[in-house]
Amino acid sequence: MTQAAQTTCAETEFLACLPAESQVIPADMKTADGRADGRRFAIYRNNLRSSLSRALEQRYPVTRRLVGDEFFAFVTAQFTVQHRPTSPLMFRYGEAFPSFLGRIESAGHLAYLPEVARLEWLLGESYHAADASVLQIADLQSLDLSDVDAISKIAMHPAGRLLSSSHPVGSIWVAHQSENVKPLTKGGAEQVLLTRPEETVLLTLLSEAEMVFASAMSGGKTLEDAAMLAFDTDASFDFGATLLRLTEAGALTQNS
Amino acid sequence: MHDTSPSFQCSQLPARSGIGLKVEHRKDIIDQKPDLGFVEIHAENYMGEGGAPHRFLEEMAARYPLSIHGVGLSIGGAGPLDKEHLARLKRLLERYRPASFSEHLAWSTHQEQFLNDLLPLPYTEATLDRVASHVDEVQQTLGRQMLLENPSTYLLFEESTIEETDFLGRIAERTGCGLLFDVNNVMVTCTNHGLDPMAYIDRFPVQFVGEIHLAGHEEIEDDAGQRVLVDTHDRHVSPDVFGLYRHALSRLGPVATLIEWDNDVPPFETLFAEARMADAIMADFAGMEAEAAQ
Repeated sequence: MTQAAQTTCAETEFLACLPAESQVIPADMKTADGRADGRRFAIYRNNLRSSLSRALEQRYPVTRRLVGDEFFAFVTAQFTVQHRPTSPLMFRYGEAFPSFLGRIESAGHLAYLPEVARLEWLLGESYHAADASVLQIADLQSLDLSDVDAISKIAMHPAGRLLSSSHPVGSIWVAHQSENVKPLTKGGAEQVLLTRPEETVLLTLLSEAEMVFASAMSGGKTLEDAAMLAFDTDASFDFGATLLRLTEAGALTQNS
Repeated sequence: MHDTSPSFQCSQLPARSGIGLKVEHRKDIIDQKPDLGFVEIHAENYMGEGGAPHRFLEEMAARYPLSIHGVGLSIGGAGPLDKEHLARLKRLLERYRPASFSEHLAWSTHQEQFLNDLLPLPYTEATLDRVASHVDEVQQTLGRQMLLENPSTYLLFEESTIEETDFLGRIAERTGCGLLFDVNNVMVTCTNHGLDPMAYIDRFPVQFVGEIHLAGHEEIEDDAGQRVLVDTHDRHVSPDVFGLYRHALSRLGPVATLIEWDNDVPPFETLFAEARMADAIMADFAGMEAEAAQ
């Protein structure tokens, strides 16, 4: 075996020893006085586990508040063993966590939990998304609605994100931004729009028809086609008011 | 004796103290306009496409010299470097044009898995060849010199045949890279392996050093009850490490010195006080040229 191949094996062996339940450490790793030392190797196990758990705590703070620190730690311990990061960009770690929560049986009574987590994931996506000019009310006012070319350049802003849920995920998230959480007065489905007009990500609740419109815009449809789809959903869909709402939220951009 | 590489440029950072930049300190820095020698960021935290992180970095880069410190390139890894990651790094450096770019003598990626830690490698002729070729690739791709940092380690590889200080010196000689001298890592590594940290500093190839790191560590015990230091970056720089820093400066002369405090981040004042402490120590060595340049 060549030396380079030996080192590849060394990495494989190191990885095999990293799981918390592993009782062995790499055979080649010793203290200066020649001992295999489990507590020393455990530093690497702890670093991995605690840094991944910390990344999830930072990414899913409301989810954590909803289940409590202890249960969150229990769930993240399982998740981090099954899902290691695949990129050095740690802000991309944990995308599978919401669906993982959905499969945890002991969280079964919290049906909204995976969807609140999904909302938190999207918040992070919006936060890091590409910059683009934000369509302003003034831009809208100066827009000639018969100018097909100008209209066709209006699109969803890169930081815009949408989530339709059968639970009041937006209201739950908002309620958990303050120290004292007031109980929600009503349940039911919610459609959430996330926007980033400046640096902070904002949350807006949309009607079903508005959601259809925004989703169509997000999927690359033109204003006109998106409006048609929204009318199909709800004949009372107010195109002008929706355009104004989305613009006020900072959801749109004008491509050059 | 003259240095064999007269064109060697350590880094463009000023011989002052700097701090690891934390978004928690944004308001303090903007309001107080503290006199910092430079600021340092972890490259990977600024690899998102846009938004607040880039606004923050633009603000800071306009005020202070910038050092970009990578933690995810896995230069010590057995496999090839991640080309996609290297390309992201190149874009980041082109956008912010930092005074210095540094990375670690460690690995963190194995095939598709990123382990979010700085893992150790044995020091052999084979690993030296590999690390040198990785450093060459990084410097060629980025079109600039990098600094390579000495690690904190907890166990030794029986396979190792080369002293860490020699390993780093030979990499620097072969590739033309500079070194980032982490004095806390010296304390941690030497304590953990029963070595004299002063002797380690005496052996260190200081002519290549472009920056110093200082940080806090935690103390634990191993299976045999021996004292083990863990590189945690979550507290004050220990008096021992400041003592070693003085010894390092007695060989190096003043050099850009970073206070790293990444976990349990303190109020800005605490971090800034630590940086001023480093500046005060550096002032004792003002006017002194590095040993190798004499």
